[in-house]
This record gives sequence, structure tokens and C-alpha cells, in this order.
Amino acid sequence: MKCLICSSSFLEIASWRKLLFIKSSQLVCEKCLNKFEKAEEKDCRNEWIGTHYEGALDSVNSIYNYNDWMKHVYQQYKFQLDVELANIFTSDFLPLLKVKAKIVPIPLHPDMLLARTFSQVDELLNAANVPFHHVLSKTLNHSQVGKSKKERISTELIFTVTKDVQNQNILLVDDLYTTGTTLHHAAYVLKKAGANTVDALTLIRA
Amino acid sequence: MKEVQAFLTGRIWLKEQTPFPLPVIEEFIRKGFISPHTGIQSNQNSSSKKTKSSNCRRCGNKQLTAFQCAKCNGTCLYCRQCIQMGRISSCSELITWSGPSKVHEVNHCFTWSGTLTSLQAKASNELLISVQRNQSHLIYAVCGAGKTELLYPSIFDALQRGLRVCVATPRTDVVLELAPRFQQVFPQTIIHALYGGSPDYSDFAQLILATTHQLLRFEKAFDVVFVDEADAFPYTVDKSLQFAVQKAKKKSAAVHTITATPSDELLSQADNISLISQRFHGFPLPVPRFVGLWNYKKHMYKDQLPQKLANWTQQCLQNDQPFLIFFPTIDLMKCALPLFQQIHVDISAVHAEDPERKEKVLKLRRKKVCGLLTTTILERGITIPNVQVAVVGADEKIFTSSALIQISGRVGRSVDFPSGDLVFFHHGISLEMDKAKATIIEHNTNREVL
Ligand SMILES: [Zn+2]
Ligand SMILES: [Zn+2]
Ligand SMILES: [Zn+2]
Repeated sequence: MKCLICSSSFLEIASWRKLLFIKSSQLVCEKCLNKFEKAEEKDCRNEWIGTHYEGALDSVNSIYNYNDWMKHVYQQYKFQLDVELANIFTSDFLPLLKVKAKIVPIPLHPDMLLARTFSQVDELLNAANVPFHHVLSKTLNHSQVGKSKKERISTELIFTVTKDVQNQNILLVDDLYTTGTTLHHAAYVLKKAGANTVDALTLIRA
Repeated sequence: MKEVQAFLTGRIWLKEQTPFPLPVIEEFIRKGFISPHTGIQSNQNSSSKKTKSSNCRRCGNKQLTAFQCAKCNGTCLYCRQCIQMGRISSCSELITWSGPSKVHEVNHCFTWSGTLTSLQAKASNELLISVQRNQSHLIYAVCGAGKTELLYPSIFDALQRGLRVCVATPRTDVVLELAPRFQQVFPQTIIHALYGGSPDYSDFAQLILATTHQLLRFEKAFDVVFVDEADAFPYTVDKSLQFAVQKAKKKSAAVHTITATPSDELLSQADNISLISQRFHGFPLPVPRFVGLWNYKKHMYKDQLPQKLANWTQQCLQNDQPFLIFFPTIDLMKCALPLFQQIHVDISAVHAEDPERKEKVLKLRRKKVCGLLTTTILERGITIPNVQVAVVGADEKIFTSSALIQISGRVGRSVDFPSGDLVFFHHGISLEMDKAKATIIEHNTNREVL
């Protein structure tokens, strides 16, 4: 096998992992694999207490920490547009196959989608064959870079709800949890549209 | 127009990534001055019409990755091999200059005050004749023969004839080392030094020093190409790098190669060959000693430094001689490092991914550290006065005869210390070890005949 990240050749070890998921062969060498760091459980919603987003999001979980290695790999995926790398995280998203809630990826603005040629969140789910539904659409496309947190919060309407979500349980999926603005806003509009619960899962927590 | 012409002449570039606004590029395309090309070329295979193979226009890679593309609204192919230079997919466009050709500068200045040995001068003249006749030439020069300076006359001659010249090498450190030397010798010539992470140039250079990898960004650009260290890793194993050289030169341009350890392939490809079997200082090449070091791996993994190796290290320390010890793997080297540090705390280790690689070599040269453990990464390109060299596990596969000859070439390079100890510690003598030793002895014999 040739490692998807460092392209060195490696021998696949017959591990329990391989026995359990016969379909997913090992794509990344042991060395590269060990540089990822799983995120510990932590509730980062506290910062939103007192804002009008308080309580919108019922829980947030993240799979990995944003260490230097993850920054490097993720930059290659999202900005060098190396779509293939989505497959590295297949096993991380497999548990979503058992989730009863409706899985909703955070969408890209259509202009951004055209420029990037793929949605980095959708592809993570596709790689694991996890079914999902787009019920949100992004209405503003200005980048959040260079704005203070307050400015970002006051950015009106980042998302609109495009499908019926009345009394539904939603699991939002996003790539990166930085300040939480995106997820909180999405949860807020979903709850307003009648969603019962809104939880969230992100690949990485910064 | 001049700026766009200067930038694009000989280059092949992603349309969206030039230093110019997109409307400017579009305008030139309408005028026919810029040709757009699809990033992924599909070749209809004539023999069997059903199989359609595609390849990346920039790097030639045929193993492309398919994905659902939002821009194409369907399946799209992209190339992972050259993705670091900006992704090329079925829906991306590469552009080349097809407008009026650029007139090259013929006024160049050549300021070099050094002298060539008679052997260097002979090879240099032979090379010049080959370059003028556009015949491929191999300079087969032993480590320490002084090969860079014998290129100068050929390069100067080509520049004055208005030709565009490229000196390529698989190794970034060679580009970094050559760039200031060339700029000094050709002070009025615009020279670009290109390697991964080098500054972006938007102007035109008539002389380009580049890693072979960077040549992927050129197409039909060069009239004369020299490939220095033409047998170095990864050039010999990575087909895309050889493709890069072929693509970057003009179709008829000859490729000249320079190395101390030519492969049979290089020897057979060259129209003409010059052999320099003597070092510039005239002293013979150090010949390796073979010393058995039985079960060295077992001992090291058990935290024991084999006595012979420890003694050798002690000897260097006592004589106040800097030393390099080569290891077959990073793993074994890391395991051995603490054992060596028990002998002297200053001993450190370098490997390919080591960000402090350069600093550590510099420290050894300045005698700030007494010795370095290393992998084959330091087999070429470094000169440390009076350095003593040992290879641990010289019989391991990674130590090919070329690698061993290059490693041996680190010893006795300076005229003040023209010799030094050179030991191959082994667990059984390999054919490659024998071949390396025989080649070195043969060079020394040739030298005596002269
Ligand atoms: Zn790897
Ligand atoms: Zn390519
Ligand atoms: Zn496409």
C-alpha cells in the first residue's frame, strides 16, 4: 500500500480494525496515523451563555484536535483541494450510520462550492456512505476572517432553512469548530423553524 | 504585453494563478497570444478504441483520481502527483505563451578569476564543443573533482548566443549552493533559483537553476539543459522528474549530465563523455576499509554500542577530528544516538525531515559539534574539512555502490586535509561494497597513469 498522505509504501498490518471493517483497507501508514490527536470531551458552548444563541445547540462533539499535523493534512484537503483525503476519516464517520437523527451538513455558499469544486463536509460523509440531507442554505458569502467575534455574531442571517424540520431531531456536521458561530447560528435557525433537538459533530476542534 | 510575455515565455501555468488579472489573460487568449490547454489530456488509444487513458498535462501522471465535481457537474479527474503546485483537474486550464517570441539578451558578463586544472580544462572544452554541437554530454567526475566551475564556459557561450539555459538537479541544497556562485560569475544575467518554497518570480530569466521538480512548470523553454547529480534520489526512481526535464527543454535541445556515479543508463545515453578521475587537489581518493561488526543491530537495540564502533568514535574525539556516521535507517540511528551521547554529549543526529539539518551541518563544519549521525541524506553535497567517515551496516540494501562512493567522497576534499579515515562497518561484505571499493581503486589507478 502507498500512504495517502506521505506516499511512502507501507505494509498493511492485519489488525482488528481490518477484521471489523473488511471493506475499509488501511489508506494511511502507521506513522502518519499516529500523528493525529483525538479530541477530549469538552463542552465549549459556555461562551454562548447570555447571547440569544444560548440553548440553541444541545451538544457539540469533535473528533480530532487541530494540531500541526491536522492543520497540514486539512490544508491539503480543503485548500489544495485533495478530495481523496476524505477517505482517511471514513472510520470516524461510520458510527453515524447508526444515528437516528437527521444528518445535516453545514453547506457552502453556491459560489464557494463552484470555486472549490466540492463540499468538504459532504465528502467526509460520502466517504463513509453516510446518508445526509441538505436543509440549510447559506445566504451570505463574506468570509469571517478579520472580523471580531461580536461582528461575526451580529452578521445577520448566515443560513436559511429550506426544508421542513418541524419536530425533527437534527445532527449538524461540520469540519471545523473554531468559535462556534456557524453551528450556533445554524442551530438557532433550525430551532426557530421547529426542530426538536439540534446536536453537532465536527471533525476538528480548534 | 511585455510583462505577460516575459512571465509566460517557456512557462506552463494554471490560468487562475498568474500574477496578472484574469481579464488580461482572457484578452491575450482572444488575440491568440496565449494558448489554453485542458489540464487533463485524454488520449484515445488507437489500438483498442475502448480504453481511454488520460494524463496530467503538467506532470504526465496517468494515475488520476476521480471525484464528483460541482464545477463540471459530473465526474472529474484530478492529479495528486503535482497537487502542491496548484491542483490540476479536468476542468482546469493551463496556459502557454504563443504570441511573438521574446528576444533574448546577448550581452552577458563573465567574471571568474579561478583556474581549472588541466583535467578540468580538458573536460570543460569537450563539454563546450558538445554544447555548441548540441550533442548530449556526460561529465563523469569523481567526488571533489570540482565540476561546477567547468560548466561556466559552456553556459557563458550559450548565453551569449541568446540561448536560454537551465541547470537542474534533484536536490534543493545543490540549487541553494549554486545560486550565489552563479550570480557572482554572471553578475549581469538575470538568474532565477527555483525550489519548493522559493520566491515567486514574475520576470524572465535567461539562466535558471532549479530542482528537477520545479521544471514541471516549464514547457519547451530551454535550449541547453544540464542535470547536475543526475543519478541522485529521487530523480532516478521518479519518472515524473525525468518527464519534467524532457518537457521543459525545447524538443531538439540536448541534455547534459554531471555526476560522480553514473548509472549504466546514463553512460549509454550520452553522445560524448568526459572522465575526470582525479580530484582538483591532485591527491588520490580515500579507499574504504571493511570492518566486521557482527550483529550490530541486535546490540544497538539492546542499548549496547559495539566496541569497535565506540573505539572508532573515541579515536576521532581524541584526534579532534569531526566525524560523520551513516546509518541505514532513521530508526536505528535514533536508537543509537543516546549510546553515542554517552561518549560525548555534543553528538547529534540529522535526517531528511530534520528542520535543523542545515544548522547542524554548519555546526559540524565550524567544529561546534564533534560529530553527526546521519542517514544517506548527507551522502552528497557537503564538504567538511578533515572529516572522518564511518558507515554502519554498509551491507544494507540502501547502501548501493553509488551511495557508498558518494559517502566516501566526503573524505579528504580539502587541500589541507586530503585524506582521512573511511570505514565500512558491516555484517557481511556485500557486492555493492566490493563494487564501490573497486571503482574507487580504479579511479586512483587511472589517475596514476595520467
Ligand atoms: Zn504516511
Ligand atoms: Zn500532475
Ligand atoms: Zn471539474
